[in-house]
Amino acid sequence: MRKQGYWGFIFTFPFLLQLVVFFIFPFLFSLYLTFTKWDLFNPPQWVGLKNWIQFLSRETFWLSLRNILYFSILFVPLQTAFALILAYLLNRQIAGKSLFRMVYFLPVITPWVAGGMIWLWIYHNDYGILNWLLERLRLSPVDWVRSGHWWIVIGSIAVVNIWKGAGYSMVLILAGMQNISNEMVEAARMDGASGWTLFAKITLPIVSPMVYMVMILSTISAFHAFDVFLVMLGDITAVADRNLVPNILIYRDAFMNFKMGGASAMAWGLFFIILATTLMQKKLEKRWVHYE
Amino acid sequence: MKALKIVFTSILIALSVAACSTDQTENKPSGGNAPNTDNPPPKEVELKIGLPGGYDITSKKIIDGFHAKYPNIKLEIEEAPWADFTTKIITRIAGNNPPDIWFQENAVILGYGARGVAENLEPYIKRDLKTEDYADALFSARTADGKVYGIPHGINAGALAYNKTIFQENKIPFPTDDWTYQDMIETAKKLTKDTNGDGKPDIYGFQTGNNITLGWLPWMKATGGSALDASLTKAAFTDPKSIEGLTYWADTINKLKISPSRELAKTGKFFENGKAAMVFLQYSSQVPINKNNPDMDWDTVKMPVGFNGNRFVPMVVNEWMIYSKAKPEAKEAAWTFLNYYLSDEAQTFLSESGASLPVKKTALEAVEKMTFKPGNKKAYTEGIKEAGGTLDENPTWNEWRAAANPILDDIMDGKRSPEEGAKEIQQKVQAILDENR
Amino acid sequence: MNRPSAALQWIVYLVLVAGAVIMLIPFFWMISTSLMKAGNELTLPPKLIPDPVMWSNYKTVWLEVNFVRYTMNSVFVTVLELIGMVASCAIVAYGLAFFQFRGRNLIFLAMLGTMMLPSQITMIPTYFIWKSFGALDTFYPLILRSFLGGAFGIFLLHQFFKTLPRELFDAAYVDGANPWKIFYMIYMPLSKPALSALAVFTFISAWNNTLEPLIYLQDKKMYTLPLGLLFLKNEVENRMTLIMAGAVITVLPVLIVFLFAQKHFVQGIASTGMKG
Repeated sequence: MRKQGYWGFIFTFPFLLQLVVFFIFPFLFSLYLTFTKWDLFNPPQWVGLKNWIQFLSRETFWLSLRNILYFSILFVPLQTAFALILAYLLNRQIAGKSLFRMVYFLPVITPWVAGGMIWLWIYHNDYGILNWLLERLRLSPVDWVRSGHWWIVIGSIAVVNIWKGAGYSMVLILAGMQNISNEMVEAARMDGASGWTLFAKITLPIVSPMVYMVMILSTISAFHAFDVFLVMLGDITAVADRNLVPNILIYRDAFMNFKMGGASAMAWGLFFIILATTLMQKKLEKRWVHYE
Repeated sequence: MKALKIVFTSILIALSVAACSTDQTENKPSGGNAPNTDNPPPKEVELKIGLPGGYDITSKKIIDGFHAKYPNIKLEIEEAPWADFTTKIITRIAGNNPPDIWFQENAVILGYGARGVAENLEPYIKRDLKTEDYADALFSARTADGKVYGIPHGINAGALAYNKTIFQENKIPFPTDDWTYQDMIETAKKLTKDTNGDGKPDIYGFQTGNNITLGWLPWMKATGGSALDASLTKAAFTDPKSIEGLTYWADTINKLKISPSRELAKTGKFFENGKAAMVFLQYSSQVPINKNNPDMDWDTVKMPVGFNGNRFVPMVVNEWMIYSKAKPEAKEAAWTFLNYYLSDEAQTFLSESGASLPVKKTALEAVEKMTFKPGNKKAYTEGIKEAGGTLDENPTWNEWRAAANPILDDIMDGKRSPEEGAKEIQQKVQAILDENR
Repeated sequence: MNRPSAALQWIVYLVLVAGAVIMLIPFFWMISTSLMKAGNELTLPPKLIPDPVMWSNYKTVWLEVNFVRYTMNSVFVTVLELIGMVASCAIVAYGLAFFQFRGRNLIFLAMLGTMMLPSQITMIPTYFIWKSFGALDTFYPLILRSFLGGAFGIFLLHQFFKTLPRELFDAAYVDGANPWKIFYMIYMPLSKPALSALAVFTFISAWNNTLEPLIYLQDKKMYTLPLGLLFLKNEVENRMTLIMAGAVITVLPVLIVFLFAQKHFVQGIASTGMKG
């Protein structure tokens, strides 16, 4: 780190401007709204802590929180691991690696309608591939996204989200892998490292800042999961309480029920939860993330 | 320099937005004392009109026809994709710059009325319209205290559609207008067939809907039940009659197995592909069927008579509304547009588009003579006049529907009994109704 | 190179190919549905091969949507966003990664914080801001902000800079180069992998964005391509075949950009011959 503080200030100035102009007001305004009743037309009315008490005592909020935590716990590590393995495999001298990279990136740019149709088909009770397989193995079929058990539904949806997001994270990690020089690899080889040791000793430390970023970003996006749930469960009015996630509740309150105050309170509640999770990840950062 | 200006302006608005939004005494709804417009002077007026889905839904002819008749009213058309119109309009209402007039679903309009966004059109109607020229659906957006917040853009009613070929192959006579639900169920049983012997039917007698319009609500009304009571302030799901209707509805799939399940219906088209003999069909559905399956031989009869002897024809109505804070002259211009919209000329254009049915009686009768399928359009037009009903709509319709829908899906999937499900729905819906009183 | 056993190599291949199939099918389904006759698209089990093949779907999309105009708008907006985002993020990330100054950690945390409140909540106040600038119905709300950096890009480049050897900076600084020079002479060339990844992601999000154009653009002549394509779906018809044709057209440029950029994802120190 350099001491020339003014340089740092000059370089970061554009983003400071971004914060002041485009974030301070929306953040403060929505925070103010959490203490008001606002129907998006008439002037907001001050109601004190009512919105906060109301959403904290709503059963649906706690259900949605349970679901999103479960969803994140499945999605974040699995997706990160998947992306890391993919990046590792596709960074090596294997035939057709550019083609593979392309193919594994395709879900990122495939529209949700198309992805949703195919996954609904994969999970279909009567015509689905998964239940067909279970039948061949003489196991009883599972209802997947139509199940009455929330953990099966959320789990199935987490898999779809991994399908969609792994390619994205793969590219990020791949970019980080380019700083591994051949010399380093060769030197390690001379010392007798190979396979797993090579990966753990050389690749992982160097790429760890990128892996750390992928984890933070996918945690934030997991807490905001919305599209994937609507695609797999039908439209916004069709999501059962047991399968709810916070953003669906927030959207319903804000744009269907015209309760922007309640929606803002919930969004700020979610904000604090995400913030806490991120700070926790940041605390753990020093233990495993290796900066040059 | 510019950056600095942006900073200052942003701080300024941060301070002024709150003040801005509290100031709303301007432009009180003009209400009863709307200015007399018998001989409107050809003054230039600008009218901003919001069209979800673009021209094809409203029919470009109507816009052109209006422009030819009222050249002094300058139309500024604001389009937005159908599915995303809500997001856009809500943002613009919050920013106090929506169009002067636009249309959305009836329930949404009722919500706007309750919040003061929509102008009460009752004085205008009293002043300018001969209400006996219109079907009762003209007043779909009327509240208990007599205010009217919208004028129908079009009516989209339901009827019983049947595949003639399937009936003929099975030598079963076609449905008639005096069929009851019982007749329909009995015939559907005969028509459900497993032709390739895999244990699953390949042709279903009926396709049960899962939504409010063509699914559970008509079945509940058929046994004399309903979602809300007549005052629209009390939930009526646990009324024994309502539960009876829900039971009949879910039984078509779970007990009688005359209909494909919800999941099957979601991922495949049954009636359209000749895999279901009968279905409740909304009028607008004839557009894609006539386009994509022009050779299918099908027709419609009225919605069947209920188990209790009464008929219920579900209607989805989209309503035009006028923004309450629009300038007075814009409001008048908007009303002029609605007057034109309700004229024979415009209502005929609407009928020709085939997307929905007009509210004017003369135009409604003219629809019967149009030649596209279904041949028997009286199933719709007379159905509306005889027994047309809206879907228990009130300002919180979307909210209570979102609470009820998933549980109704469980009932339909056989995951929960109608009694048990109805109990939970009742409690949730009532809580929403009470909260918004 | 001492390769892992041939058997392991084969297993890796097998797994990669099996995974690739799942990745590919939805994309394939999109293309085949775009060529289906309307009404054939929803069958059980789903058909993957169109019969008959309807190239005319593409013609219909072309005729129904003001295609050339919308594409030009999209290109204009996307290119500007891309330039603005990559340039500003690189500068800001450089400042955060290599200089110690008061409030640095706070800015970093605030940057992460900007991603934590759902856009559903910030959308309307942001609309107020642009309204007060008198910038509604212009391209400014779509473009300007990208010149002030975005959380994702800054985070990405910051992390990437942190994987680069910091001796480079010290050496150059001792030689008397000023920080600005070090930035574009040393760090920019080394950051090709991350810059091209950021370029691809910015391109994707700018090109596919429908929310901001929907809210801020009024005049239909200014619509972007994905917004214009949303009109294919209307109240009475789903028109899946046309929507998929539109999706294929939208995706093609993204594919091309990815193909060009992916060469650069894998050109870091390893190929420039620098020592770590």
